[in-house]
Amino acid sequence: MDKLTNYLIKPQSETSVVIYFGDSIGEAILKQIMSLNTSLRLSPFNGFIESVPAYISLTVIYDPVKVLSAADLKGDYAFERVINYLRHLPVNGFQEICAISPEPLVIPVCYGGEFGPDIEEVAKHNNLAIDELIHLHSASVYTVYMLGFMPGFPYLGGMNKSLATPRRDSPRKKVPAGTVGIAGEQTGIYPLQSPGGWQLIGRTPLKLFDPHLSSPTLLHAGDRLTFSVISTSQFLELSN
Amino acid sequence: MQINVQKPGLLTTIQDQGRIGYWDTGIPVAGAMDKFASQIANILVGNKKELPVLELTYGDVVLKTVTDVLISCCGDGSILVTGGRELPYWKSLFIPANTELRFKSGKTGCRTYVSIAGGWCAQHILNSRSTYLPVKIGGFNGVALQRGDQLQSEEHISVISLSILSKLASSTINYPNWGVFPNSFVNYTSKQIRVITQHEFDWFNNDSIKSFFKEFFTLTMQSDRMGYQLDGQPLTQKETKQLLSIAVSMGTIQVTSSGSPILLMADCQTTGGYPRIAQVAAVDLPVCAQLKPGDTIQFKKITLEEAEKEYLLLLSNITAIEKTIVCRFIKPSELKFSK
Repeated sequence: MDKLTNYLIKPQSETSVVIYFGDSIGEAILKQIMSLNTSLRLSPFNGFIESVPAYISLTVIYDPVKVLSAADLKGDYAFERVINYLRHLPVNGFQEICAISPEPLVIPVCYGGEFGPDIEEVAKHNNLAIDELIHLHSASVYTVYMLGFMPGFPYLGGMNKSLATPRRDSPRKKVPAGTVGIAGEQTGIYPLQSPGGWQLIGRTPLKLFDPHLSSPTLLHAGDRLTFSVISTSQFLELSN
Repeated sequence: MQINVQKPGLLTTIQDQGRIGYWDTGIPVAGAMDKFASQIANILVGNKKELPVLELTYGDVVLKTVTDVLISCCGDGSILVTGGRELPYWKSLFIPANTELRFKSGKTGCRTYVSIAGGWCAQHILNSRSTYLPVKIGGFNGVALQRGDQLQSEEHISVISLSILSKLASSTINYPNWGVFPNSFVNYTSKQIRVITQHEFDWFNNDSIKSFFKEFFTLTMQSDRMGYQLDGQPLTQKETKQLLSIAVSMGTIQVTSSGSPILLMADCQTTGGYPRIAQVAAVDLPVCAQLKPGDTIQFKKITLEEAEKEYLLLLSNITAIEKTIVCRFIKPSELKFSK
């Protein structure tokens, strides 16, 4: 079983170290990150607080006082001890069970109209009919690489490149929660109302972030999702 | 214990030590900007150091005690005046009911922390009582304090709080003749902020690295709980490279495409995509928390080994202060009962 010796592990602050798995976004790296994250959470070291998966990295947050008081960790400094511990974790141990969920989550989206005011612009930019655009956007299976930027915001991979459209010249002051947008080669969903410069093509009635739930976000790194087309009346029905 | 808000000031929120455990869902850590001042404020009233406190931004805040209260004010954002007399910071304070507490601006720093015995009643959500305004969660209904708000303390107070209260309780304002001298523990008066280099440090050209450590940087008006935009010599990369988004934290200094550095603070996003040139040493984060627009700072490079040592020293000093307070207020015979 691979151990973490081939990966770059760098201290980052008095309370965090980062493991770098490679230098470009991809499913193989995502699987390794998710697998190591599972190993770490199943057998945390004394002083482990939390871990943050990102495109090519896993940041590990710890309490240096607890790390230094742990009898089983070796090293003079807390960051040395954490790095030594991480080097001995199996990287590929959990790929089969945890890595990426096989069944994609279905996110219903009402495309165009008042929910997607930029859909014509995106279609025009890519020389597509609106129907084709909706088909291309909803036919793909997307992978959630990480959450960040705002609570519950998924960084998605897998958008058809023929939908790529630059951001708007001037950002909107208010983009409603649930709005689905495109920025460059990325597509995403706004979990909260916020200002934003993405091209808006539709909206989902699902809540991506609810602070009152014990698991406050709908999506997690490693999830797969796909969009299904719904009508305005279905949108209103699902909103209730 | 109860205090009413007569004037909320620029931005007064309830904060604890932050929302731990949700970093991977994109929910910011938030929490008190000045962890040292907020922890000492708690310790001085006999609280656990993680309990929620008020964070005042500058002065212009008026509170009125409804009941007798045991409070402490720590930080450098204001002075506290009541009945024409200035009350000391960094001490335990007994204040009788119906006293008006006027916090006035005019100190060199930015933020003041007000603790109360038992801790402030606040919304506990996602493992923290910290207010995070963009999502309206935590603290006092998820928002900044307003005129007329009635702030309660938790009913349960510690044995240490009870003991401090019994020693200070009086018909007038009362406080001990000793307190904590913050500058012995944190370099609050220093304009030199210690940093360790961050992972993209090598992406910047030699001139930029030189000026990063030589020049002064000024906080612009775009400075708040999320972060401080710094004005100074623009920093440029050797070649333009894109960083793939990665976890960032309070103290991370990222550099935008226009070359200006941003020092991330308590409410910062969980991940960022700008190259990171440096990370403020944790021991100097309380110094940064007291900075305000117009202040000028300089960065000084230290090693991670030094930074860790200094941070552990600060943490052990806080524990030592905690023990000292217990010894000052509780006789050994009382301690046996409290165990």
